[in-house]
Amino acid sequence: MKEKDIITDFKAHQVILYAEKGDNSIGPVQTGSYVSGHYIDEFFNFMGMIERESYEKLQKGEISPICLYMNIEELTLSELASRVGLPKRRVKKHLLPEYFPGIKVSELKRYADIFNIPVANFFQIISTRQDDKWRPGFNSEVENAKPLVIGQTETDNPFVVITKPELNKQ
Amino acid sequence: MSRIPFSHVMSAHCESGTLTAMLNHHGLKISEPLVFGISSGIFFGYMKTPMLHFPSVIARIQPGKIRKNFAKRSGIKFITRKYSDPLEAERDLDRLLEQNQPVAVQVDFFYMDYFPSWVRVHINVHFLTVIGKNGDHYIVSDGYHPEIAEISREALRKGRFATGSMAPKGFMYYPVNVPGEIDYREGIRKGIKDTVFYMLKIPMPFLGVKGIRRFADKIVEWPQYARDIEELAHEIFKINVMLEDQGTGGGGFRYIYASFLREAAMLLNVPGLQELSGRMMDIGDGWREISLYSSRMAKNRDLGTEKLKELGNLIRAKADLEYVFFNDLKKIIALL
Repeated sequence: MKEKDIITDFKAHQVILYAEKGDNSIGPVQTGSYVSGHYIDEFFNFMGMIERESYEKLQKGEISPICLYMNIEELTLSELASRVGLPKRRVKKHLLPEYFPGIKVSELKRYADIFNIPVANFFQIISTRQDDKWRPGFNSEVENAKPLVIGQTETDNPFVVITKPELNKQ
Repeated sequence: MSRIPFSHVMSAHCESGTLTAMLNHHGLKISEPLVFGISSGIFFGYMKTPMLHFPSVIARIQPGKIRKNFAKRSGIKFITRKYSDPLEAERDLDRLLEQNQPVAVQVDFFYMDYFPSWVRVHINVHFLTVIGKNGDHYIVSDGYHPEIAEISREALRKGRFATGSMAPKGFMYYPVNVPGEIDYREGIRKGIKDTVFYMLKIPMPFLGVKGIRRFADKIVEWPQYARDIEELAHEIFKINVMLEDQGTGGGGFRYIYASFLREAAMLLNVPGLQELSGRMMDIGDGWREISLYSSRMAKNRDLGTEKLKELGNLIRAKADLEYVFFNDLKKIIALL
């Protein structure tokens, strides 16, 4: 592939590809990602759909919060069990709302670390700044235009998070 | 703030890029393709395990092997260490930074929050170099990021001590006694010899050229794993991601391997390798065509059996080409 044929203009996701240069050498070329540059909306739409469906199911009591975040992060049952260090059959139960109240707080903390959220977020649905930083469907141009955001700050106590509204300074 | 002077460059692949940057820092001028080729980086595998909801394609050797193979073939020694205690790992990292020693670490990519949220996924085999500290943040040179970045102590700790498959366990490394030159002839010969074995002889039906054939055969079965056409389209898009975006240098690592062969041809003065470099470039073009073709299929939701068979045929053609290519490479390397 020639250098000129490989270039994609997409600043938000840069990659290095090797291509034939003008002097017939093969070398690294910094370019935007082709798939992100051309099809990022497809990704956002799909992940947004998964997220919406999962939140609806959560609110109807059809899935547990663990299942919600597992879906959002596209983790499989095996992978989640492996990461949390629990048997698969136990994690499978944790995905169901009827077994959620029986999960130990220490286990919830392990799940929370994997999803990179405060434990408190298993018990509430809020649009938070911390969420926005990692959730797959985050659109910074839209979200950062909001006059007010809700920030979450960790404390020295691993089970306690400070959640507070802040003026959006961006 | 304390920052070690370190030349940050973006790289095609995190593992070979981190190793190359580290070697360059220590005075060995070597390119990423040469590191990649000497360490037998190129590969192919078609995976479907209980851990995976969908089949997955890999185009490089096992994570961690690039450094190990390179060390073996170059004679360069590396200090490596894993930890069970995150605090001890941090203390050692801080001590090495104080001694002006950049340190390569293995992390879960998900916690590297200097990247946009939508590219971050849980994958425990990302590599980067820690080059300094700024208060409660570490300064890192990550080959996938255009600039030097900062990451909080907390986030780096989470990344280094993520659990699950191929957990990093705080793994870190740095080289000692790096010479100004290494024996390129022997390194290149051994690197190619192992690559030929991995691609042609490895006795598993889902690895090497056999893995490409399996990918071609099994792609028509993908709809059975998807709950609907939207999920199938999402997974077909990922073929492009796996071959182009996931640190491959394009064409499923075939372009970077072509670059390696061209450099090897000049270093060893073997014109046959130059000719094979051109052919590998063409094979890379073919893989890129497959990436673009699958993206268009997914975008148009044109995912019927006939279309998937067409995609399978394109993939099978690459298997045929690579089978001939690696046999020819084997003949040339036998003469070295």
